[in-house]
Amino acid sequence: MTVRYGAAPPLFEKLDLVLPDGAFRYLVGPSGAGKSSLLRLILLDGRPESGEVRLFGESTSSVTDVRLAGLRRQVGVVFQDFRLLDGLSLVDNVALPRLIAGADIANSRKEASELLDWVGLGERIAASPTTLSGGERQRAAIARAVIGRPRLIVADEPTGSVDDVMAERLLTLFEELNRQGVAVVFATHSALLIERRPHPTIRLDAGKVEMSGAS
Amino acid sequence: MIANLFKRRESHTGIAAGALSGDPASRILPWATALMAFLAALALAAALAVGDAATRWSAGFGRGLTVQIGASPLAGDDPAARIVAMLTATPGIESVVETPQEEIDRLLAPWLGGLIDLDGLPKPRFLEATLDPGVRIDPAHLEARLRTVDPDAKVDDHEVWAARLSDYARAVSRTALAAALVIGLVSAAGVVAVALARMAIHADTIRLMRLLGATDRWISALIARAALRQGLAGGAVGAGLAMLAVFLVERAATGAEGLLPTPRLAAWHWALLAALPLAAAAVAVISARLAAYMWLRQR
Repeated sequence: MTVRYGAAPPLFEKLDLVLPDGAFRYLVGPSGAGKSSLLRLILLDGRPESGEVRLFGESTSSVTDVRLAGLRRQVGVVFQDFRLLDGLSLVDNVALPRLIAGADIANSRKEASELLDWVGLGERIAASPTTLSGGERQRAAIARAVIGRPRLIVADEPTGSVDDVMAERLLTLFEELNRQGVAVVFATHSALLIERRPHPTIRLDAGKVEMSGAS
Repeated sequence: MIANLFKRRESHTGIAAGALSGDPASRILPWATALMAFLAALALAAALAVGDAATRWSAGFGRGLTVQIGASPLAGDDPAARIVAMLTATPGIESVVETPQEEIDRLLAPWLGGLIDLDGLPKPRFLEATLDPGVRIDPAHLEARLRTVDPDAKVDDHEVWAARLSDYARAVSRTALAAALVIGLVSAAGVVAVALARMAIHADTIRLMRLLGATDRWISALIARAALRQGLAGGAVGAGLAMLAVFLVERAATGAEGLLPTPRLAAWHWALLAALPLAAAAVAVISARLAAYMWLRQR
């Protein structure tokens, strides 16, 4: 793939990356290396200038709006800035992917409550996201990413706004999901986290991709 | 159980719509819709009432002639009976009825005021001749014949007046209807503008919903849902106020029927006005949904 923004030089050229089913990969690289851009491609939020993104074996070059939505529902996403919706309660924020998929409202809320309990926010289900701390929001965002039982979770700096203890706890959540068969792409700047909890790494730098630790 | 009936039913889009609320654009829409519905309802009421009056006037006047003869003589021969006989014998005239003096007094009263004793005044008399269906009689020729009996006799052909009045009323009615349609189109344009503004304001939320798997159809349904609620509320307020205004105008016109043509709304006209909020909601939903869908397709 080639990815370029406007008239700028290509961010990636001849990028060729395969993520196996059930894999866990750190995504690292300096600021501006294209981590967020790569994650956007995986989320089908934009298209490469040339080449194609194949998601779960399916080409996404010319899919319909409905199929695109269907593919996105198989990807859970945790944004760096959480992106919880202030107009919704915490439980509805977490239930939103299920509601969008047309699932039963009561069941969706029940599942969302259970997931909030799982991430330690069981007492805050009716709270507005505006009343939560950064760590709590991050955990709620993880619960939202998981509720649709995705095949792949994409997390953009999910530990960027929490302390080291919380960062390890969040990483434990992702590892637990990965053990259940969910592939995880975990973008991080934290060398400490990578050192303590080693996983194969995708390193982006100056448009080049390096893989390390993968068998 | 009763409480459950009135409990607001939650829907998927209803819950998610909470994420798109609270922007200035969505607060404007109900008021703008109310204003437009008020104007549209007034224009529609005018169109319906005048159109109906045109039909009634046309039907009421269309098949007849009015013959005016001189006041009753104080003494001597009254030509009225001979005029009636002459009219009745004329081929094509179905019947002839003299307008009662009480009716003439009632029509004159508003013009002359209550202080004048109408009984003491010499007043013209009127004969209403009904024609057989499809028959036309030359009023000048008939008038010439009648003047051999009463030199003051005059014949007025209803059809000419009816046609002019009817044409005028229909023109007014069509203009009012066109105004109602234009108001509807302006409302639709307003809803489109508000929907586009809302999409722009909530662009980040909409992008997030897409990334969470929402289709364009689902997102445009969110926008349309809000427009439905606001269109219904605004339409109900606007149409309700317009109906109240029309009712008050009709009530104020009571007693002035002899002076002015006072078109009135029939029961089905009121029903149509009462249904205007539904039309406003339909316009709002269709416009908002199309606008949202077009916006999404461009992104």
